[in-house]
Amino acid sequence: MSETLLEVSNLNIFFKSDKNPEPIHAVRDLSFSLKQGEMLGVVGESGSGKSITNLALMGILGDNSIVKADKLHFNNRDLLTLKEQEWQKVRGGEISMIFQDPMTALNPFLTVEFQIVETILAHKKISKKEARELAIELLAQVGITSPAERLKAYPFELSGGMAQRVMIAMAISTGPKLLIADEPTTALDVTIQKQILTLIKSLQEKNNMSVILVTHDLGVVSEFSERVQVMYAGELVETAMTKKLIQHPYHPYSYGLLSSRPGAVVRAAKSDLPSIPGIVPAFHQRPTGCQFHPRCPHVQNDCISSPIALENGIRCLHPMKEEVV
Amino acid sequence: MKQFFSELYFELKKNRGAMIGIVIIFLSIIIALLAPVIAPHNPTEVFSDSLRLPPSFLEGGKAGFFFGTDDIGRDLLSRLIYGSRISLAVGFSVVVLALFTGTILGVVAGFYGGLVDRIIMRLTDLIMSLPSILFAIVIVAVLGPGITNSIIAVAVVAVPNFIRIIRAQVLVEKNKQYVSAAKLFGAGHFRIMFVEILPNCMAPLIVQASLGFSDGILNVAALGFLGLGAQAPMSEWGTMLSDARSFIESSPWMVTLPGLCILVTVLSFNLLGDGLRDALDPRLKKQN
Amino acid sequence: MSELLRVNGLDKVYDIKKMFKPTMKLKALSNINFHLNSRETLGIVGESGCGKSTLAKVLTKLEQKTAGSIELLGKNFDTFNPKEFHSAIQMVFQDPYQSLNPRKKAFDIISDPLTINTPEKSSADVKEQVYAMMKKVGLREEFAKRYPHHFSGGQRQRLGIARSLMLHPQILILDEPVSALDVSIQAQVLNLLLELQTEFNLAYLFISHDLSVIQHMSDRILVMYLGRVVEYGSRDEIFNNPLHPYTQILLESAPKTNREKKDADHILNGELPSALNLPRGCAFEPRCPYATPGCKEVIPDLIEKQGRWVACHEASFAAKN
Repeated sequence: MSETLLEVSNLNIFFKSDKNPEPIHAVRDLSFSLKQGEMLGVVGESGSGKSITNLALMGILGDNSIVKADKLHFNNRDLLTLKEQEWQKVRGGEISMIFQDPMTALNPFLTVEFQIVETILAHKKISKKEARELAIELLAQVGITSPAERLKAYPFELSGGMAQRVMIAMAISTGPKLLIADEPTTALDVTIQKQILTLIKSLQEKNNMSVILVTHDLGVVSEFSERVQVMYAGELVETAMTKKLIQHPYHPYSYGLLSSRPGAVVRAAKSDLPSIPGIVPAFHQRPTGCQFHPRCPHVQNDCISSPIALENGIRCLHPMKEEVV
Repeated sequence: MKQFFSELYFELKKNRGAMIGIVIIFLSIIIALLAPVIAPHNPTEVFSDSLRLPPSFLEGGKAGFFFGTDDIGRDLLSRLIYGSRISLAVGFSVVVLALFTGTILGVVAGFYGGLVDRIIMRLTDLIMSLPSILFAIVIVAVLGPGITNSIIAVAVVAVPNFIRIIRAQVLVEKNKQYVSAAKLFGAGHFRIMFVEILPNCMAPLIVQASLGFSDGILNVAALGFLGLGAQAPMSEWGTMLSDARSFIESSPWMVTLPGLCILVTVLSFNLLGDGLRDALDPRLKKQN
Repeated sequence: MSELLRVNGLDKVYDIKKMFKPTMKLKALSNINFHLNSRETLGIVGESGCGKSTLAKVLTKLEQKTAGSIELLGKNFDTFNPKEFHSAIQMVFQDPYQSLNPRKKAFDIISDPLTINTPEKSSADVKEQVYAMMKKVGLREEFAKRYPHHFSGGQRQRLGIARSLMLHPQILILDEPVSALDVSIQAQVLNLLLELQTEFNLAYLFISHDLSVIQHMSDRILVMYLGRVVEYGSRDEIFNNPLHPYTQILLESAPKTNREKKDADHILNGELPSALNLPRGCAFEPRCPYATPGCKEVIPDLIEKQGRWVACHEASFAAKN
C-alpha cells in the first residue's frame, strides 16, 4: 500500500460578491484522498466546482474567496495554514498544474527556453546552463523532436499539441508529487488528445507521480484513470473505481451523464438519446436538498428538503438499480 | 438597451470620480438651461460706473456684482453663467458632428476594408499627424472666424478619433458568427453594418463621446482665446479669457474665473469618460 | 429519395499575402466530391485544419469557391438569386455565444429572416410563426423578450436552430452544433435535431470532430484530412470496417467508455503538416503506419472499394491489419 499524498475532508469554498449579500457556496463538503502515484479522474460539467477545487489546492483562489475545511493535508502538511512564501514553494514545486488552453498559459512574448528555465530556476538551485540542459532533457522526455531547436521557439510557432507538451515539461520540471491536469486535451484534436493523455499516464507511472485528471469526458477517464469522482453543482455525487462506475453508476446524474453519451452503448443510428432535462443551476440559484433533484427522473419527497450525505461513495437516497442500457 | 444603461449605472456608482463628474455636469446643464433666471444681469449690459470691480466678497467689491465686473463694466457672474450655455452647446455640437461622421466613416472602413479602408484611414492619419489645434486654426482661417466655424473646425479635428475607435471595434465584430448568420438570411450590407454590428460598438463610442465633449470645449475655448472663435460681445469663456489677458496683474479674477470654469467642466467630462471606460472595458468585465 | 446537393471537384484556395514575401497558396479544399440526398444526414468528420469549416462556408456562399461545380436542387449553385438561395440552404453555427447578436432580443433574432425576406408579411403573421417555431425548438413564449445572455448555452443553440429554420430550408448545415455545450445538454440538442429533421424533412450536413456524435447522427460519412476526402461511405461501412488508415486511427483515438479490449496501441505520431507546405504525395503519408515509398510521390485518387470510396494506395493492405 502506498502512502496517502493528499487528504481533503469537508472542503467548502465560498465566494463573496458585491451583488449578493450572502457569499456564494461554490464547493460543498468535498472529501477525498489521493495516494502517491495514483491517477484520479474528476468528471463534471461547467459549474460543478471541479476547477475551483483545483485552484484551492494550488492556493491561487482570489481574495474574494473563503476556503474552509476540516482537513486539507498534502504530503503531511496542512495547506490551510501555509503562508504565501511557503505556498510559493509548494505551488509549481510539489504541486504542478496544466491547463485547458496551453496557448494562453504560455506567455506569447517569451521563448520556450526562457519560460522553462525560469520555472526550473525558481525551484532549483542550479546554474542557468544546467537548467538549460535539464530543459532540453525534459522536452525530449515529453516527446518533442529536436528539443534544442524547439527551445528557441515562441509559443505561436508551436501547434496546440506541442504547446501542451511544453506545458507538461514545465509542470514536471520541478519533480512534483502531484500534477493537476485541468481539461488538458479539451482544446486538442482526438489523435493529439490520445498522444497527450498517454504521455501523462506514462509520466505518472515512471515518476510515481499522483495525477488529478479533470475532464468533462467520461471516455477519457475510463481509458486513463483507475478511480473517478463525479461532481455536480459543487458537490461530489459519486466516487468509485472507474470500471465499476462505467458498468453500474448508482447516482442518477452519473447514470444520465453516461447514458446520454452518443457512443455509450450500441444504438441504432438516429435513435433518441436518453437525456438529462434542464440545466446545471447557477451558483446563486442552488436548490435545497439534493442538488440534482430538479433534474432527476427518480426524485422523491425526501430528496428535496435536507442535504444528502455521501455514503459509500454515493450522494443519493435512491441509487439506481439498473445498469446502463 | 435599458438594461445596458442600468448595468452601466451600477458600475459607475462605484467610481467616485465619475460620480463627481456626473454631478458637476448635471449642475452645469441646469445652470445653462436656467441662465436667464439665475443670472443677475444681462451678460452684455454695460455698467459704466463699475469697471473692473473685484468680486463682492473681496475688498472694494460691490454687492450687486458677486464675481465683480470686467474691463467695460459687464457683470462677470452673468457672463460666466451665459458662457456655460455656449460651452455646453459647443461641446455637444462638436460631439454630435464628429460622432455622426466618424461613426459612418469608421463602420464603412472597418466593414469593407480594402481600398475604401485605405483611403479613409490615410486621411485620418493625415489629420492626426498635425497638432489638432494647429489644424483647427487652419480650417478657421479658411472658413473665417466665428463660433460656428470654430465648431466645424474642432469637429473635423475630432473625427479621426471616432473613426479609429469604431473601425477597430467593427473589425472585431464583423468576424463574429452572428454577422455570418445575418448574411445567410439575406441581410444587406447597410443592415449588417448599422443594425447588427454598430449596436455592439457602443461601449467605446460612449467613452469617446464623453472625452470628445471635453476636447471640444477646450479646443473651442482655445480658438476663442486666439480670437478665432466666438466674437464680442458673446460671453464665451475662451474669449473672456483672452479679453482679460492684459489685466492679469491688476484684476486677476477676470482671468481666473473663466479659466476655472473651463477647467472644472473639462475635468468633469474627463472624469466621467474615465469612469465609463472602466465600467465598459470588456477586459475588466467578467465574460458571460 | 431525391438528390438535393451534388459537389464536384470543389477547390478552395486562399492567397496568403505577407509583406515582403511572395504570395502563398493555401489549399483549404481540393477536389471535394459528394452528394446529399433529401432527408438524410451526411456526417463530415476530421480534425482541425481538415477543411470542414471552409466547406461549410463555401456551401453557404460566405466564401467563394475557387473551382469545381455545385448543383443545388438540380440547379447550378451560382445561378441562384440570393433569396432563393437563403431559403434552400441554412446553417447552425458552433458557438452559441458568438452566433447570436447580444444586442437583440430573442424574438428579433428569430424573426429577422422573415422580416428581411418577406417584408410583405403582417406583423401578426410573423409573430405567430416565430412563436410556433419557438415552441418547436422547446423555447417558452415568454423567452421572446429576453436577450441572449439570459439564456444557457443549450437554449442559445435552440435559438440559433429556430432562426435557421424560419425560411424553411431543405438543407441545414450544422457546424459543430453541440461541441460548445455541456455533456448533459448535448443529448437534448441532438434529440431536438433528430425530431426537427423528421418534422421538416430536412437534409443535414453534420460537421463535427466528435466521432460518437457523428456515428449517432449520420446516415453516411465523409472523412476529411487536410482539405481532401479520404473516405466516404455509409455509416456502418466506415465505423465497422474503416479502410483508410487515417479513419482507422481516428476511430481508435476517440476515447470510449465501452472499449472491449486494449487496442494494439496505434497512437498517431506527429502532427498535421502545414497546409501551406503539403507533402507532394498523400497528405497522410508522413504519419501513416502503412506508408510505402510510392505514397510519397502520388496523390491517391478516391476510388470505390468494398462499398465505399477511399483515397489510399494501400487501403487493401491496411484493411487486413
